[in-house]
Amino acid sequence: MEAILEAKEVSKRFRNGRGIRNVSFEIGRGEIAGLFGPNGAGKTTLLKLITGLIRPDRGTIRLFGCDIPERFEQGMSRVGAVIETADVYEYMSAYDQMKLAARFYPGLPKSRIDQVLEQVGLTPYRGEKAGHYSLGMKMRLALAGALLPEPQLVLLDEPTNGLDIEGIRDVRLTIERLAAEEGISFLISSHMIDDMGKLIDRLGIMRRGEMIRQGLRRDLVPAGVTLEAYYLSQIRQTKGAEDDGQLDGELA
Amino acid sequence: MGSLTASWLNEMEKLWMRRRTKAFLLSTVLLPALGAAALSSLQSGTAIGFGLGSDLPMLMLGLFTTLLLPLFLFMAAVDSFTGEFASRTIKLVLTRPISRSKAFASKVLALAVLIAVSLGAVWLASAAAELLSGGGLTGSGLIDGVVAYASAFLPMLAVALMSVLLAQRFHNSAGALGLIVLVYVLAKLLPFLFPSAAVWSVYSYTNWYSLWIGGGVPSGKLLNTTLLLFSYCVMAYMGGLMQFERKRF
Repeated sequence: MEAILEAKEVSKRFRNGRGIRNVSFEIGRGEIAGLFGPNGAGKTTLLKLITGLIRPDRGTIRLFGCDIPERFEQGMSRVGAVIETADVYEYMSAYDQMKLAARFYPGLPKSRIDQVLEQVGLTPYRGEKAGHYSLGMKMRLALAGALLPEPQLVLLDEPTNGLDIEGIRDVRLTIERLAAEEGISFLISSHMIDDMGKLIDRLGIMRRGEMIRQGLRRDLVPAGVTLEAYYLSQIRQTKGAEDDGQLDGELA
Repeated sequence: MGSLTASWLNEMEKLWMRRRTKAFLLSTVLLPALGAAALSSLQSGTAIGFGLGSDLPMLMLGLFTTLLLPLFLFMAAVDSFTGEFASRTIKLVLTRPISRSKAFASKVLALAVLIAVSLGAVWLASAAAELLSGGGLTGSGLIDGVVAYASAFLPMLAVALMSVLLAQRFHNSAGALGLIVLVYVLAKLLPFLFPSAAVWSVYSYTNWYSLWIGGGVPSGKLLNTTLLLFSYCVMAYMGGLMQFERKRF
């Protein structure tokens, strides 16, 4: 497997003591990877480290073979990302925002802006200021920004947050179609396993800043077991082991 | 197009799309016109015929470099940095293929262009207003005007860079703007309170252009002040860049 994203023993500790410890993770070309874990597990931190929004204390991160942050520009040239929230310039229209983003990718055809806005269903609202958009529309606009450069890898952090059932289904279908038709790889972080679970073929489960399980879905999840059931069993298992360790410590 | 150029164009477009930028640029045209009208009515009303109108470009330069342009630059610096930190739109830039140092440089470059455009607009508008109000533009007056407006660029850039430096410490636009304005007001009071310390204040040179016209100031002093302002620019830029590079979003 050709890894397009490699994170090796990455650690980051914040002043409040939280962060991630020795996290390793990789994604192959064309894969849809899911990063799951409870709130505060470190999923967003890992995505921020991958996209250079935070610098790691230790470990290495490579995007398409380029070390981050040393060769950030080359590494990120084939990556689209929506991290933490669907951030948009409220005082600009969807089209203007795409125009700004397109400047970073020389050679991108002008028609690409119309194409991505069509893909996410924002064509009728392309001239409207994003400040008037609903949360779901902002998420679609953010998704359009991530898809604009015809990326080979898209990183999505909680892409269904705040979306209604129809919006969640739309995002899921868009990801499914892009992965199938254009061979785009995705890394999707979510604490709601139901939303994205159907799509993924590689998974990583994080808890308290550590990657407790990771690998291909077919290797990890036994036949007949749902992803949700597997996830819960792993979380409980780790929690149980921690509780036992704590109890042993107290008894000793 | 390189990532620096792309980001610089984007930053300029973002500044342009803000209403206050358009309002400020409109004021660079309207205020000289109003100033010319006020001066000519003053002259005709009081029969003072010694050509107050011929000082219009300098009067406007004084008004803009002491008050209006610094205030606008404070707001633009806060919008570009603290505003983007607060609204988290900074991630829209930093998750594109551009290094942090280039992203920072592009924002500063956009502010520098804004200073140049503002000064150019004020000069053109005041020179035109002066001509239209019957004042004569002499060749030496024209050259003095160009020299004064061009020399005002460096202290304004220093003021902008100091604002950029201070803006890095905040994630709240109102707090950042409040502090930057407070520092500016205190610095402007410095010559009255501690005249000897005021020499070292970067804000003491907003009317520096007046030294460049008339040829009364030794070139050694001009060179010293140029170097001082340039040093402040370099220090503020590097200080701002270091904080921007280390920031986590």
